[in-house]
Formats: sequence, C-alpha cells, structure tokens
Amino acid sequence: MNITVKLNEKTDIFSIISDISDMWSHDANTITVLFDCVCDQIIEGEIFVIISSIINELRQIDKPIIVEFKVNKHCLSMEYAKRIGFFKNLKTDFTFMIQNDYAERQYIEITHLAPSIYNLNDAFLDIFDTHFDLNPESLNSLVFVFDELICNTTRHCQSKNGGYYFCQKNADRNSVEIIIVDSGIGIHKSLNQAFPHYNELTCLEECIKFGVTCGDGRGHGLFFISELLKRNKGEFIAISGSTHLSIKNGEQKTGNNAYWQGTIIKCVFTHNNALPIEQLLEEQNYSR
Amino acid sequence: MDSSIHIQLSKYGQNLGSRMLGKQVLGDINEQIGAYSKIILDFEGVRFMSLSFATELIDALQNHFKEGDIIFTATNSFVKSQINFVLKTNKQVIAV
Repeated sequence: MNITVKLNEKTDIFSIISDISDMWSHDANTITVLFDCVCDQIIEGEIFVIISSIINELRQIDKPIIVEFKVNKHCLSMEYAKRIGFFKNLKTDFTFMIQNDYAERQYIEITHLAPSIYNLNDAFLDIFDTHFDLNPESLNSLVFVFDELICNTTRHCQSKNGGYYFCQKNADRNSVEIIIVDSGIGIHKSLNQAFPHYNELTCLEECIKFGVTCGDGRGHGLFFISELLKRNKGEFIAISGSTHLSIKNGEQKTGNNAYWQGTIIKCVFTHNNALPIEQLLEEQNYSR
Repeated sequence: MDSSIHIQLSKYGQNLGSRMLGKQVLGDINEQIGAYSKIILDFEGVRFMSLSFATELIDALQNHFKEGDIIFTATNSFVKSQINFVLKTNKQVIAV
C-alpha cells in the first residue's frame, strides 16, 4: 500500500485525517507513506502530532511502515518539524536543515504520553513560566487546561501507545495552542459504557457537559476546558471516530470527518483574557 | 485528645497534575494515617493542582475523616479555588 500525502500551508487537521485515514484499515503487508512537503510556509505543528500518533500506533501493533519525505529546497517546515521533536518521535533521522529564526514561537515539543504516566514533571511549568510570558491568571488557566487534557487522555483513551501532545504559543496571534492526540477507543466507546443509547455525535455533544462521565471520574474536565475557551473567545475542537465538535467565537458546530481511531482535542487558548479559571470554578450554579 | 498528621504535598512536585499521582499520594497517606483524627494538607510550595488530583485525594479523605477534620494550609488562590470546587460538588457525582 502506497500513500502520498501532500503537506502544504492549506493542510489542516481535517485534511490530514482524510489523507491518512485509510492507514487504519489497510491489510497490506507494508505501508509506504510519502510526505510530499511542497510549500515554503510553515505547516502547523498539530499536523505533525497527528502523523506521529498514527504511525507509532500502527508500529505498536507491528504493522510495517516505511516513512519517506520529499522536500523542496525552500521548505521551512522540516526544520520546524525537527525542532518540535517530530523526527525524534518517529525515530527517524532527518538531516535536512535550514537556518531560520523562530524565536517568537515558543513551544513544548511533541511529547509522547505513556498510558501509565504518574505526573507531568515540572519542566513544562518552567517553559510556560520562562518563555510563554503570560500573566498569572492566564498561566493558571493554561496549566488547568493542560493538566485536564492529559488526565483525560491517560484516564480514558485505553490506547496501547498512549498519546501525543504539543503546545505552542503564537505571539502574533496572542494565543497558545494545545493539541493532544490518542489512538485509543474514542469518546463514543468510552461514554457508551454508561450511555449505551448515545450515538457517536451525541457522545461528543454530551462529553463537554457538566457531570457527564463514563463512571470513572466526575465529568468536569472537558466541561471546564470548553467553557473556559468559549467564554474567553478561544477555540475548541474535539474529533473522535467519524465526528467532530468545534466551538469558535462562542458558536458550537458538529459534523462528520474522515475516520480517526481515537480522539484529537485541539484548544486555542487566547491568553490575557478576562475570565480566569478560578472565577469559573467559583460560580455557584453547577448542577446536572 | 485530637491528633493530626501533617502532609507536605510539595514533595510530590509544584504541579500536582494527575489522577494517578493523586492515587499515589493517597496510598502514601493511607499508610500513615492510622488512628489520626485530623489531617493537615500543607500546600506550601505547590503552585498548581488539577481537578483530577484534587478529586482523587479529597473524595477519599472525606470518607475517612469527619467534616472539618481535613485542614488545608498554605493554599494559593488557584489551589484554593480547586479545593472549594471539589468540596462544593462532591455530592453531585452522577452515578452510572
């Protein structure tokens, strides 16, 4: 099975899922996937997290995969991919180097999240503290979102391979983006244990409501994350299976997409906003 | 006479960020609490705590200690808001 995936400035989460979705169901002896990087602009880091997740998940179940890259001489994305740990996660050596200054982009590189993780070490706090230049309220809210996303994944995804996360501040957009990707059972199967009558889309809509849980946990994490982002004019995208839910500018939308085994959550956290997480937690009217 | 046990949480890190860590801390505490009637959770040096950690720890301790016998000290505003939330909502868990 040979797949060619074109990566360019138009590549987004949904297009990359569509391009690689067939890899989940293939029965060929070997998959050869060629990433054809044809642009002279930076490809978003989230694309590389998704690629890392599917390739390593398939490797985990002993599917032979050959990964190749075709890069033009003006390509800036491969050095960026290297800097954020993409090739390290693929265990692929890639020596193509172009010198560029990305000093304005602060990030936590693509990081494997083992299923049995006990605690995030304090290193990422130092990165947030030292390089992200956030006010104290925004820092608290960012750590809250980050912690809850990681707790959710380690708690519910049931993936042999765990997950991957990546976090980046975009100073020019006044935002911090977090993406966490797993190749586990997905939100539908997870919630279905407690709500067998819910379909895939209903599960996505329910999982961000207060107190909705598969029975393991209280069901508060995704509620507060989505609510915080909604009220602070951020962005929230959850993709699981063949459906997705997005919240942008306070508006919630749902739709279908190419199949993704597991769950992808993307959060765009607009910092230095008015509502800190403490205030959200202190509101009195939470009930279900 | 009341006796209390003092738990310094910063030894687990300045970010208490996962449920599994909460389980680990709870396990450590369970080995020590014995016949103590009060517990002091000291957050000196702790900057962040996740809801998952707080829930895991506080819910279990509330089953062991009477109301008012869990004492939270040196909490910053962020940690305090998480604790207050967990205490406020601990009876609202949906049973499934």
